[in-house]
Amino acid sequence: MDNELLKGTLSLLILSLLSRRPMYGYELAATVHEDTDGAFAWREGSLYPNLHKLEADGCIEGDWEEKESGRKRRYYRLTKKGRDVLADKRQSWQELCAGVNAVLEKNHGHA
Amino acid sequence: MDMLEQYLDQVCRRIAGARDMRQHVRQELREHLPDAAAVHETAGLSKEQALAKAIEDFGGPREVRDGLEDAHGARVSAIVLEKAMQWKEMTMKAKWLWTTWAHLALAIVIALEVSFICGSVVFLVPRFDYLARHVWRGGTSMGESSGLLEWSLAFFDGVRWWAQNWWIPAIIVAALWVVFEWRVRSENKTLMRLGGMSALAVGLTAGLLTMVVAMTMPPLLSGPILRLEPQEHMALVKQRLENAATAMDAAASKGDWNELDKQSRQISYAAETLCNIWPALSDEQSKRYSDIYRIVHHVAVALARVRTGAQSHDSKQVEQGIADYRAAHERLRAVLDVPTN
Repeated sequence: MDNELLKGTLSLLILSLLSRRPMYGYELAATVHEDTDGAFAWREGSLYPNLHKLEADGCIEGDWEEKESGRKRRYYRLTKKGRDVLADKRQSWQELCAGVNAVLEKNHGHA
Repeated sequence: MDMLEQYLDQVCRRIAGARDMRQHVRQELREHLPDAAAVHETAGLSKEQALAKAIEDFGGPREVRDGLEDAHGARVSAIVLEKAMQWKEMTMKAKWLWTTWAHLALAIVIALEVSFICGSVVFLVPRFDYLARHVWRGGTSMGESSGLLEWSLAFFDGVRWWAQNWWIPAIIVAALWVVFEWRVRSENKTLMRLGGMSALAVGLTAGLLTMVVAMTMPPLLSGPILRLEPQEHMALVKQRLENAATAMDAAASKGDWNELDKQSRQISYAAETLCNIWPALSDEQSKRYSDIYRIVHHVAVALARVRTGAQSHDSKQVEQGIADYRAAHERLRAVLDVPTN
């Protein structure tokens, strides 16, 4: 899979996953991997910069939670602003996909 | 420092922002990687291999760091420090080249100076000694022996002594070097070695300059350095002999032992000079060299007796020595007064 295409959709993926339930960083990465059956081969390190940017933008908020094992995890959840941004991004994505697919379909007929 | 912390250092060290925020970012990554490593451990890898795989999947430290800096900004101080460390690493690679060259250059300088000193001792000092004792001192227009010339002669006597006992400084230097290389463990050892070599080079340079001064200053400051024509030289030596003999008689009558000793030496030097310049005279005169040589020998024996008497304040010995000298001096005068052309 082309990683450059994936980079542009990372924010959308993060917001979409957090719309299900609050998650921590590794859980987000593992869920993407599971949902796509491993099709997304991405660098997990790119997750945290995007998380922190979304947090700085106010789309998500994070809190530390300590588990029984003593380990601490930072759980992120969607804010209201984040839901609105998610809706916009989802709309944009669908329009983009439709437009790209339309072009590709026509090209396929001529290939 | 373990692999995980080392990786986190590389990733997080330049993140800008409050300390708490930076600590939280680091903690977040610190929690993520063991979780990812656990999956690989389950797949059969060892703990270390699993962590290494997790770090590899997470991304290269530079890549992740750039992403975090995009999100949080970069600390200027950390960037400056990193650039300084890179510069230091770059210069450290060149350090060995420069220190090697410095050692080599100093070794060459020291070797050249030692060679020059050895060459001077073997070739130049004997010639200077001859000129000083038999030409400049023995009757040229230098007149009385100059203090500078005497100092030069004493200096080169010292140089000759050290040349004959060269093994003493050689052993000292070798021993110091061995002890230094064996015992010194300082970080600045290279600089200390260079400092020692520089000090040795400076010392040798000072010694060389002193030799040059000792060789050139006395004749330059006191009179002509070129040897006179043999005839002129002999005339001066004759005059010198007469003056010194008169002065010696005067000293003997006054009982001035020091002056007696000094004048007797002057006569000796002048007489030696005669022996040296005689062969340069005409063929006719040089045929009488054996006469001169024999008479000068008698002069030397007589004067030796005078000096012994002067040193022990023995008037009788002095009188006998002067009497013997006068007899030899008359014979010498007879030879010297033969027309010389």
